[in-house]
Amino acid sequence: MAERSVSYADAVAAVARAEGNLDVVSDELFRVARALEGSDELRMTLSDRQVPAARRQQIVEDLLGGQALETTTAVVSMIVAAGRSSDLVGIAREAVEINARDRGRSVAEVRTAVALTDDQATRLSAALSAATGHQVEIKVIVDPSVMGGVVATIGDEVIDGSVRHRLSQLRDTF
Amino acid sequence: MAELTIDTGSIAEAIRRNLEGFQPEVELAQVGRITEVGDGIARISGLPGAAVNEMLEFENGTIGLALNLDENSIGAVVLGEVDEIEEGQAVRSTGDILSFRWATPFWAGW
Repeated sequence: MAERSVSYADAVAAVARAEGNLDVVSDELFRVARALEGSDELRMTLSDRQVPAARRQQIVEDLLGGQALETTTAVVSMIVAAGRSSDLVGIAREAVEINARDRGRSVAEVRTAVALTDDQATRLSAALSAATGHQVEIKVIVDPSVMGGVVATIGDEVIDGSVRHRLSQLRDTF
Repeated sequence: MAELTIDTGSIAEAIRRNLEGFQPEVELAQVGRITEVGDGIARISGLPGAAVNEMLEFENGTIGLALNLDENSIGAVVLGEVDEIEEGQAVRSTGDILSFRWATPFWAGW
């Protein structure tokens, strides 16, 4: 991960810890990152330096204001105004890792074709904890390209149980 | 506080509302790309009009100084933090030759 994203995430985590809401802020940053990944238009607008910073910040304010914590809105707004919105996904990922580390856990980024129910998420978290030998907290990303099953990424390890992967293996067989 | 949800409808609406009436300024500029960077030196392609000692502007605003003008590329010294300069980033020529400006003559007070 880029050193700059890690530095930004450390600073964000320090502010959120001071406010006593790192848990919520890291989760909200994760959701903002998903929105950026899912919308080319949002990503391009927020990183377009031709658009005045005040307009880009107002877009952030409109999307998050009233819904997210003020800390989250302020942090995202500051990063966007600094012209670093392309780093937001990396910063969010690192902030989630920091939050999990604070609680002695690891983070698994889980991609599924459809959203998981609370029960499924709990069972998956338990299964991944058992498989890796340490407490795993899951962050679910709905990704239709997975087709079915799950792809779990924990640090450098990837557990690919997706239909897409199985189809690819089947294709390689012939 | 309710869980944060950002749907495509609200994204489109926020962008539309804030970009309404916005007219980007159009300007013509010669832009090159960094092909290699190391030891404080950036190699840049795509700026055939750059002159020796011309100041170049990197994407993050850092200034570089064009020194080696080869046929297909330029070697430029990065006059600032080199960690943020990466391969593939855009570089603009400023048209200005490196110069210094003194607020008061250096001989003042002699």
